[in-house]
Amino acid sequence: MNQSDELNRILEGELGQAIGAREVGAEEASARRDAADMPGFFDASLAIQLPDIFWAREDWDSARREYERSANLLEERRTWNREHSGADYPLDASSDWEAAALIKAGRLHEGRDRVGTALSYWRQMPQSAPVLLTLALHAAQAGMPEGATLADEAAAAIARRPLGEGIAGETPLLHHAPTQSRLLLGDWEAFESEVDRLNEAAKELRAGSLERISPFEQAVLASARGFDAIRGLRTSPARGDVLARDVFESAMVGFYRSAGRITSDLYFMRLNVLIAERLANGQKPNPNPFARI
Amino acid sequence: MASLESSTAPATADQLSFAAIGHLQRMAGNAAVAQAVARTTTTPRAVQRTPASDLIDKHSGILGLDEEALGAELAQRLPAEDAMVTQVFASLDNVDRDDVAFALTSSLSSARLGSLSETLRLILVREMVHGVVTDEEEGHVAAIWGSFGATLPAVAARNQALWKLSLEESDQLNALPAVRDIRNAFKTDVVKLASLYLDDNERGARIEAERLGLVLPGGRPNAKPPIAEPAYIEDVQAMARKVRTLQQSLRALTRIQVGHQVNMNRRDSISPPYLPAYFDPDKAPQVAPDGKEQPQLATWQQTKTQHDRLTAVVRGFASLYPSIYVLLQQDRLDELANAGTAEQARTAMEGTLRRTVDKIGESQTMLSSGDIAYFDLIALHSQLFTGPIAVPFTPAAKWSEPFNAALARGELANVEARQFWTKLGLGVVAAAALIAAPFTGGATAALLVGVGVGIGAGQAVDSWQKYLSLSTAADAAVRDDLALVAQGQVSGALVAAVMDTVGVFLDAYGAGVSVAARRAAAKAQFEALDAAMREKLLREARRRAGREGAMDAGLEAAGTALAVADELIEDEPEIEASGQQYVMEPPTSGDAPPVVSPIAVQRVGQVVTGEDFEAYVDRGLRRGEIRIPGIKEFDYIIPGQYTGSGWGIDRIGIAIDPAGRVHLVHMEMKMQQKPKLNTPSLGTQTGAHWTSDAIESLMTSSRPEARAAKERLRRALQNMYPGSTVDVNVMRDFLHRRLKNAKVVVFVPDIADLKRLWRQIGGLARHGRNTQVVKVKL
Repeated sequence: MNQSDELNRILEGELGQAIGAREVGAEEASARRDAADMPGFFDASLAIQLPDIFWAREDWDSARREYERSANLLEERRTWNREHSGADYPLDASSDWEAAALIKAGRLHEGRDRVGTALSYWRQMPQSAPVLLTLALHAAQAGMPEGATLADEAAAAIARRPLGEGIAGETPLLHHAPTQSRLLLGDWEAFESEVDRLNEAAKELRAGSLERISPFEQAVLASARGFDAIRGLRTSPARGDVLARDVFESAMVGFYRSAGRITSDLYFMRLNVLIAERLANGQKPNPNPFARI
Repeated sequence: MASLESSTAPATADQLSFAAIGHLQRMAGNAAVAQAVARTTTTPRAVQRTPASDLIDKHSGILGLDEEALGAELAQRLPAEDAMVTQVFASLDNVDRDDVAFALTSSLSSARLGSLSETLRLILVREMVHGVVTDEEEGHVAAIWGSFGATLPAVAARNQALWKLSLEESDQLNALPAVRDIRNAFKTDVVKLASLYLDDNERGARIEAERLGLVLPGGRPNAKPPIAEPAYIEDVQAMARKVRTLQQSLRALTRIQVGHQVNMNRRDSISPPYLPAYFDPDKAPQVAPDGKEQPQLATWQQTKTQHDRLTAVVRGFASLYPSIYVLLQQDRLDELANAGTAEQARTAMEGTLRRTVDKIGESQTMLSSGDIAYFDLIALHSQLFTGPIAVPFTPAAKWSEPFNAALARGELANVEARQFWTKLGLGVVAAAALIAAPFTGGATAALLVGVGVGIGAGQAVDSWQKYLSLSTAADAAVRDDLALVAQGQVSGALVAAVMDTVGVFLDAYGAGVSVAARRAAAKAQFEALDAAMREKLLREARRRAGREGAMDAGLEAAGTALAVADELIEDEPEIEASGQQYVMEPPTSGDAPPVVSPIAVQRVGQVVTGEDFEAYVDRGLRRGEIRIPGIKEFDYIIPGQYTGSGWGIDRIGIAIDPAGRVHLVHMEMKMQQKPKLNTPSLGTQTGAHWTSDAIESLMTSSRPEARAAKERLRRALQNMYPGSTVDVNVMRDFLHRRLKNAKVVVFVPDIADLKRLWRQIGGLARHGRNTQVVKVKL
């Protein structure tokens, strides 16, 4: 089974699960609404991962529709809770989801505002680097320069893992987020510099690792090759997009294997494929394909 | 002060005090001491004046010694001339010493008493507590002991006889804070421990009721009606019948003749000189069989072996099924065994468990009101003094230490235990089962199989003493090769073999078989079966001992009696088995951690896969059989996995303490030989970032496992915060705030090699993660 087949198998399985869950959730949501349990209704209606699965499968229409639906639902939920839930209710606890949904749906202006809310909330939450990392990439996607710094900080925080390996500052950081954020911001000079750094880290990993490379590391290595391909595509567009697709899809498989679920990494890897294809076609990269012009 | 060197006349041997010898050694060395002593053998005795004798002479007149004046002067010379004062007491006549000691002490303030040497202070006490002790002397004795302050326990421990005599003679010693606090602590500890046992047993009864689908009064408000575990009532009923059969076999054993006893009533030559001696597990016959009897007799040891095996099996069943335990205690096993339908059985069990909970409630009330007082609970005194205590409990003082134990025992000597159990309508054994032992793990064979019948009669102390001696004897009687059986860690096949062997034994030697040929055949069959059984039990014990030897030091300390029985259970999953847990603190060095406490764990079926292990630990946690230090019990245990393949947090434990504070525990189960925490994309498993990501995965996943987990968490939070909105936002906020820095507990099987895991936990600890490992015996 090649990587593409493997990815298709993963995504088909996930889609089946998610659609089944959507159906169950719709029934439950209906019952909750009938019972005037609006918090229950919103929870049952939420299908955070479903649009990402459509996106990863390149089912653009479904993805666009579901991102829009998610964003609307989350906004409606926020409004209801603001009006009905008590003062102790953590209204901003899903602000990162809201920001991501808005930006993925192309509603960049609202999304940027919500990124600010989400940063305020999640920065005061302990040990939230994984959430902040995703938020950073969406911020960059929405053109917010602070996304790059935030991605650096969050990736470094995560890399300070307590087993002594990959300690930030001692060895190059083996994480794709800093490179990804520069790509999304269209900061090519910084992007190329980050690609070099990531390649350096990848080289060290290949040279130094006596143990099996983990799925996550494999995914980052693949993404590094993809970013390298994108760098090449900027200067010589011919056919580099095919390589980019292969390696980014390979990264998608790796990220899935490392987490056991569809993560935001898969979303960004698929976005990278789109960016590579636009570069191969001589077009300007667009990190927000659903954005309203 | 004159030294030996400056004396005008040589010292004599009897003039060389210890102090003088010590001084001479320091000033002139051992050679000088040797010379001084040698001189005493060659020179004539001469009158030797010393400061001590001079002082005594100074206060002596025609009317004898002026003790008050001498005591007052001695007091003035203290603490500078401590050694000289000591010498004065050595030189005084016996009749004068106590008066001088009294006068001296009367002249000293408490502060100055504290500056005297320990030796001198103890001399003063010794002089005053002998003979007639006046109230004032009692006060002085108390003041002197009190002057030791914080070192009092150590000094008293070094001088136990004097301390004990002082306690007897001086009531005022009881007013010393150190004494008063310890005595009060003992009273409190006894009552607290009783209350803990009662709590523990109430929890056990309620858990058992839940398994049976029963609602007992006084449970958690608003709790949903429990759903009975499928077929559990049938299991218990079947077990009750087996136990009844075992009891019948045990009774049959007591009818087997195992030798002879002298006929003490023989008054003539016609009466037989010997009478038959029937089996008594506690006593061998006066005269063993000579082998010439017809039919041939079983030996006491043969019969005892069968008896021990049977009692071990009963004990094993009782430790697995709290229902069986309480039925045995209430002598209501037949009700369950004879129940025709599951519903009738459930009704019988409900009655038993209700009665248990009622009696626990009554006992708690009586403890609060003083109707059951600390001095009534002799079984608990014994546990506090010498252990073992079978529930998690930290006493206020170490009652095994002589100082504390002497005070506690002294307190008990002044009061008389009462038969509180009669007020509860229970026998002493049943009362002890509720108030001095846990439902699981505390049952002793002798008490379970009815050897203790009749214990309820007599005075309280006598009854308790009988209870304690039975309990101790039964515990000691569980040999290594039977420990597995007694802990229920054996296969159904092995249990059946034990019972079959006893059956054949009864055929061979029992009273009901008269046909010689049948007895002979049974005897031959028994010998073959018994040899095979013994070999199998010993083989298992040896194999386990060998394997245990290769395990880490902490488990070795547990001994082979606590060994695992994987091989025994793997072919017979329908028989329950029990295990042990060991709690280990985070490593502070590379050394293996110490075993903290073993606690009985019940199990059903095999534990082969990681999911089995999770379910096993989960059940143990829910039933309160696995406990985590600092957490009395979990109010909620929520799976945190977001896929059916085990991704995510294995369990999130939520405990709410009496003050209403919420404690979260992050739990992972590792069914691995060499367990390790995974190191995926976001740091080490259980690390803060990994946990953060796992929370996100759970919150965003729409898989059935994740939905079910979220629903359970939602209900838990709704119960904890009634009236509040509880949705994904609240759950997410709650978990991110509380779980990422929560205590982490990693459960591993007892056979696990922890080296790798330990290194990882050390790494996590450096990053502030509070992690414990709990080894669970399978």
